[in-house]
Amino acid sequence: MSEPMKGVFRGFDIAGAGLRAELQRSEIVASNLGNMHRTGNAKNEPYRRKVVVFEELLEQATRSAAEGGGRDTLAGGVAVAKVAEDKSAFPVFYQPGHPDADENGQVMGSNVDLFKELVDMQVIERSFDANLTAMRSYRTMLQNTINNLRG
Amino acid sequence: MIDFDRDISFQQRMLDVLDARTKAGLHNVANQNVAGFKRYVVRFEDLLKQAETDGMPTDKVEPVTERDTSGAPGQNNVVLMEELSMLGKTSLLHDMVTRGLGGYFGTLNKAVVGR
Repeated sequence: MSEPMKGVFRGFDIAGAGLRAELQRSEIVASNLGNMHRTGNAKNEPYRRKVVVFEELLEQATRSAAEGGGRDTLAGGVAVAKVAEDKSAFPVFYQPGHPDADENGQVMGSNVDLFKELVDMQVIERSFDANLTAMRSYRTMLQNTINNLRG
Repeated sequence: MIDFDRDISFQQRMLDVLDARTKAGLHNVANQNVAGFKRYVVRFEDLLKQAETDGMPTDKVEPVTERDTSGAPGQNNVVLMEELSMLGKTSLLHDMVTRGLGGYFGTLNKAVVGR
């Protein structure tokens, strides 16, 4: 039988993976916010909003001979599977005189939505906190074990 | 009388259960934003109770880690508040079990060292 929750300090790796993934996601949001005013023209596309896709991380480990051999699937937290692009259409606004404007004065803007990104940032913050709280809980458990079993 | 050979296998098993449960909680929290993720649960108490009612030996009951498949298929079923309160509860229980064990080992230590 596979035991996904093996290993003493593995809890820190799992929560750490969660923190790392949320941090990567916040970096992508920052990149979206930083590039949200990058317009496009006939030659170059405007900035396309990037979306992070998460996947569950399961690690394979070989069981020692003492434990009967075989392979174990261990829970490993979460990882960024890929950074996809938002395929939604670019908004067009009228701004003659803009270097990227076409002959009708239309400029193609980036499909980043400021408010969407700000909400995403909030969600990331809360998720980060949750992972941190969970990690602290695990740390307290180990700490209590050491304190309570000290001779 | 000092019971040098008290059976602590249940406490051992319980600590394993609580440790696995905490890791499952950590894994669930880490995966709260993964589309289609189903949370892990570690079952033990209900299996123990079942063995008790069936008149089976309770010292053979082992914890089982499995997926909670509740919720619509392809929908993430992690509830953050549930996971965090489960972690807090597990931490307290873990403290209780280790305190109990610590008390027992402390008594043994006194018996051996004499202070």
